[in-house]
Amino acid sequence: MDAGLFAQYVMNGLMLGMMYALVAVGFTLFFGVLDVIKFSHGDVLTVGAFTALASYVGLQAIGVRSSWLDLVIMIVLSMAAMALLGMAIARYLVMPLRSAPALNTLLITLMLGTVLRECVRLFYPQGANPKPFPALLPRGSIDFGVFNLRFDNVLMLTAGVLVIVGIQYLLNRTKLGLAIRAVAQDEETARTMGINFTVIVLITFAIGSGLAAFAGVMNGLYYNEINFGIGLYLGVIGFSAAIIGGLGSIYGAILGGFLFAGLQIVGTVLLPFASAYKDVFAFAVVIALMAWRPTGLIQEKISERV
Amino acid sequence: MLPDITYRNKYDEIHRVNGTMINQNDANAELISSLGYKTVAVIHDTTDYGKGHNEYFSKALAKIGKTTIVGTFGVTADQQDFTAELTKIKALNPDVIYFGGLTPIGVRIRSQMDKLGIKSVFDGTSGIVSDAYIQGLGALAEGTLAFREGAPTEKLPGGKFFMEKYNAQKYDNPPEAYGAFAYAAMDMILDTIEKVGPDRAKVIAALGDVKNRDSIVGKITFDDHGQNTVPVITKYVVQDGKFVEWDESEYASGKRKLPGQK
Repeated sequence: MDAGLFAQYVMNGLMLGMMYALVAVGFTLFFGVLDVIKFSHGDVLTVGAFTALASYVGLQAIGVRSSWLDLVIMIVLSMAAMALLGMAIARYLVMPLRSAPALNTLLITLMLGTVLRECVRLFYPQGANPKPFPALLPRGSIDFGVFNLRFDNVLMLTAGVLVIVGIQYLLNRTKLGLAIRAVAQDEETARTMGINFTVIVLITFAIGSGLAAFAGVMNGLYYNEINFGIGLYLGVIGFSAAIIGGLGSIYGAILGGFLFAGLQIVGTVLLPFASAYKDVFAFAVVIALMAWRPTGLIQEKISERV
Repeated sequence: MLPDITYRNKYDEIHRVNGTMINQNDANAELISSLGYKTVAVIHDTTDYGKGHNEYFSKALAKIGKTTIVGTFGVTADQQDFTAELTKIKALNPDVIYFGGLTPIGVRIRSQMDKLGIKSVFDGTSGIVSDAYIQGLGALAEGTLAFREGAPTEKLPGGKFFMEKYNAQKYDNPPEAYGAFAYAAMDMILDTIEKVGPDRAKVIAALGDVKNRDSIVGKITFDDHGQNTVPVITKYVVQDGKFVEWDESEYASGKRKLPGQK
């Protein structure tokens, strides 16, 4: 395989991995802080992407013409809206069920995810069809033989990296992050330390859902298209990525995301004319990895003391 | 349009008003070969529809013998990301990319082709002959080839009547490729029931005997497997945001050129 082709594969893998990682980080955050699997995360991504699209349509209607302004407003609006949605889900659906078995929360959020997805399909005009997403990033590219390096991909990768680094910083270097980690370790002790449990949980959900909206916008910009089913697929992959990486660990989620993308690419290369099976290959490897390391590649540093 | 539906077994109850994909792919292969293209990469979805198109197109192309297929890629019907397959295809550098599948993934493949800088001609089947394809791609849809059984709705004998009535109902979705055929089929069933009464055996017997029955899509004749023999295949190319018949297009007359067209 020549260098150009290899570089193209690497680039594809990086972009995919970035998107999976963003979704996986969300799952990990929710699990870490509340020990819940919030399965509607993928569909929050979809709603976020559609919110961004709707705000674009609105911006076009009032005559805004600058791509950068459009992009910024779309991202801000969709992240804010999804943060609110995430908080609502936490407040009214997840927190009241904390004493129930975790399976119940998983099922309920799974159902909520379906509701969100179907609402998009039914209520967004022509929601059942894929919708073109505006290409707001600069379009130039440089050709290195087979490898086509696009500026918008580089921009998105950089933005994704910055967001992840930002989250890491937030969690490790700020008081808010300290509070989140405290709540994740032990709810009761955190409370006795004076941390407002409910507020922290809501903020965590807001952050995770905002991340999902960002990932949704990135998805839209990368494929120039969104449809009501993207959340389902990304949710399953993000969840698996979070699991192989180790639920509760942000580094694990990022690792899991890129690992899964890498597996998909390897699968396509290894099975040249059966690339429909790349997901079969990738998930099979995930199953093997889970059998080998059930708690994930990067173990959670805290063990549950019963 | 899977031929197997009517031809694999002989069920008296099954009849089909629109044609099969065999004729469609014969016409497709012929056009590609006659335009002088030498290499084709095939992408098809892994449902029976896509696999059928792949099979018949490959056979038809091999029979004409002027064009070779450099790679065949199966994709799932709800696949989002095609960068991996398209990267391989870019390395193979075919003149044409043939796509056997429906509009949602057709739109994705075409737009991701553009993202990877692939300049081949995009050649599809009746699955992409829809308004949603053009709306999904905008200017990128220009120069896409497609084929469909039967004449375009406006050119069908009852086409104008159908379009008038359909538009008067103000449905959410346009009739797309097969709306008129669905109407003709339902019309025929209702007529037959009115004529022979709501008796299952009598209706089946009456439908088995249809020869040159008039309908909005032209004369219908069912062969012994219940298949309507509709030999007309319309070739389309997307020009200025609409599916235009190939023979009437500026691509056929030479005023515009498809990538790589000689």
